Amino acid sequence: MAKHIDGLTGKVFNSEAEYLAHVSPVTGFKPTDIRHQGKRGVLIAKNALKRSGSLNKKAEADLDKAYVELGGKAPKKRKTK
Amino acid sequence: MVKIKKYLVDGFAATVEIDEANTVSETITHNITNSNMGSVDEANLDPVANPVIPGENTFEKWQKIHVTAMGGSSLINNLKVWRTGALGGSAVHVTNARTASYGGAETFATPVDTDSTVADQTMPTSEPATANLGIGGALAGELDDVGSSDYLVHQIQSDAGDVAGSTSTMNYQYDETA
Repeated sequence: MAKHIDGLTGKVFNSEAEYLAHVSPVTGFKPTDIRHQGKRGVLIAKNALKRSGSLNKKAEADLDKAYVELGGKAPKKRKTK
Repeated sequence: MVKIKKYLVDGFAATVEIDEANTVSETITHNITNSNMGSVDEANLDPVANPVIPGENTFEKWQKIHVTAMGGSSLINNLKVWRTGALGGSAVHVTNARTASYGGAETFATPVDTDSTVADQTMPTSEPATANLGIGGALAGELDDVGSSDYLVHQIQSDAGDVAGSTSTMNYQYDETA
């Protein structure tokens, strides 16, 4: 049976399911949570959604919130006339 | 009053990591931290500790773009890979990724440091115009649930006259539809 290793810690899991279910001691999140990928992962997700034209306001707000929770700066609010 | 924060697993966006398979056992290292290439078949290798003799090749890298959760999104597609930054000397970077006449999904084989028979294309050095890595064996393939891309196979083949390594950036890009 193939082993599954967490690239951040080197911990070995017997299955992919076990790896996906664990809470990372490095990030505090499971590998199924985008916050596990850090601020960079959140920005990558925003750009991926932008490219398909489907970055709606809710998704952007949720991702901005995640970015701030991870220690990023809040995005500047656009001035409205 | 007690405030309870509730974080939804699905509700942000898809979570994507890069995985690498090594050794005859196809051991998977999830969420690799780098794509350093050298004289051993290891993920996250130390290139200083595992240099390549001029004229020889690095071990192949067998990697996948892995969606661990869709996060409420409906689709992941249009996978593109490329390298930015120069290689040292006259080294070449080869890959199986291609935008046309795609060879289908590669079946894992123990990574080798002889000339790759799988990676027979030149790694792009700018963003390809269209997808060059498939899903389910096709460039037009899509993921609508957790899963992985086809294997990306790549290798650096150095020249006997090369005197130094280099640092460059591997880019792995996907489009996501909410």
